[in-house]
Amino acid sequence: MSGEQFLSTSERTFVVNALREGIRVDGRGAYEFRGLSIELGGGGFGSAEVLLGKTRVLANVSAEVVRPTANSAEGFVLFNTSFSPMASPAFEAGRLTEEEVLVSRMLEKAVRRSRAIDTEGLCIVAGEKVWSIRVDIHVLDHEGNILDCACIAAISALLHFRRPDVTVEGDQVTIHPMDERNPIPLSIHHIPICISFGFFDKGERVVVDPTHLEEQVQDGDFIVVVNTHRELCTMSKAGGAGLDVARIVQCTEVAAAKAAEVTELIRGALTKSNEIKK
Amino acid sequence: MVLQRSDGRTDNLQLRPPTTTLSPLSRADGSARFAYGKSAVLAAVYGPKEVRLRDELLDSAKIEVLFRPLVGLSGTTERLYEKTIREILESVILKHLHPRTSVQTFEGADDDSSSLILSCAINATILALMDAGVGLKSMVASVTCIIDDSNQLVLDPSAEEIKGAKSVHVFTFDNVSKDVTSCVSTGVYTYEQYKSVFEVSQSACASVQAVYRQTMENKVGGVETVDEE
Repeated sequence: MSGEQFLSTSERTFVVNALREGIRVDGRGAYEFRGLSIELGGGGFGSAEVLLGKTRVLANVSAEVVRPTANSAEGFVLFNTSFSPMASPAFEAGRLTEEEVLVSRMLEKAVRRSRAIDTEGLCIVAGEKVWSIRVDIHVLDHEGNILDCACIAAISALLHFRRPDVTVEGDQVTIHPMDERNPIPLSIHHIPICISFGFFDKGERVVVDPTHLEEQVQDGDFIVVVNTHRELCTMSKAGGAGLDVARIVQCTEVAAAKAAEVTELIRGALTKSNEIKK
Repeated sequence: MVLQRSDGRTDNLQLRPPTTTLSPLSRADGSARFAYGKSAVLAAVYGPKEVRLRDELLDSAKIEVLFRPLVGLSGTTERLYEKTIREILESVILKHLHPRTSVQTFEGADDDSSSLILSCAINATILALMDAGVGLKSMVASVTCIIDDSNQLVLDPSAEEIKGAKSVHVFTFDNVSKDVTSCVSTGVYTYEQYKSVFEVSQSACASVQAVYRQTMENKVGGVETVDEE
């Protein structure tokens, strides 16, 4: 297969030389995100389509009642990422790329392990019935920084999602259809936002939200997951050029500021979609 | 009697104006989104491009189709959709022009799956192929029809209407010969019913083809989206 196209040396040097002069190829500032558009509810409750520049990710949340593992009183939250071959010629159906594994692991750490979703609230009858929340993430267009886009899509979809109401009387469990009783939102403790950085010139130069071109040229990456309370949820520095400690502190500061901006945008999109429903 | 359908239409033979978006994706060679009401499909086309060695055909392009559902992994239904779409494309694409290459199409459902999704997928794929500039013999268009429990013929049903149907028919027609390219029918129906579904679908497909034309004209004119709602 042709796969990803190799980058020419002149393209590489062009990107790096421009950065040395403080210019990014698409004209953004080093700490500037691409334009973010969040569309909620296109496919009903719990669907979010997020466009970060030209990178496009669709997240869809669904719920079903399942039996929990041995006497547990907690529900499940599952992530399923699919890098559709639609997004880039480098993705092949049925073959897991390293990037895909990285993205699904990071999402899992960012949203599930940071305890953003109250899994105890998903319990219906302890040890018998719990809600299993499934988040399907479809990458539709790959123009760089899939992770941040996927994280925003996943958390927006989870915030938008409503599950059917349930009543328990003795042994009798009734799941009420959506038109009978108002469906219930998930209880979400905080909104983790993933911010990716790319490094050039052995860590000398840093950009936020790298494009596909920049991703191919960068010496290393650094990922910070942070929420509006300025709490760090996850950090990842998986290989690449070594980083100065001061750089890491600086990046974390930037990430905290960016996370606040992104959270505002998500909240804005949620209010807008709620108004439409009324 | 004034008939009221669940989505507010007043006639059983009324087609919802389809919504189309051309080139929503930037990486793909061609892409399109096609929707009947709330059922929507996004399609992307790559090709003609390098072919895998074992798929190489000496005299024509290899056509690959991949359909992804919105929720979960693809199963037998998706395989059936892929097969139906591939067979249509085999007869429509001028594949002899591109020997030893592959043309790949990918469809992703944007909304809950019902039989309507297949019609949307076929139409989205054809639009995406046109967007990619892949040579076609003709523009095919697809519509869905059902015979409901009171033996009424219903064109372009909603997901709720499909649930109570006696039989579901997905017809695909050619715009040159006006002949049927593909037909997937499930359920129990009589020959007369089949004949009337055939005729209704044939004229409905012509109006979908008019939407294709309008969409392409808008693209050539520099405007890339059409919203017919």
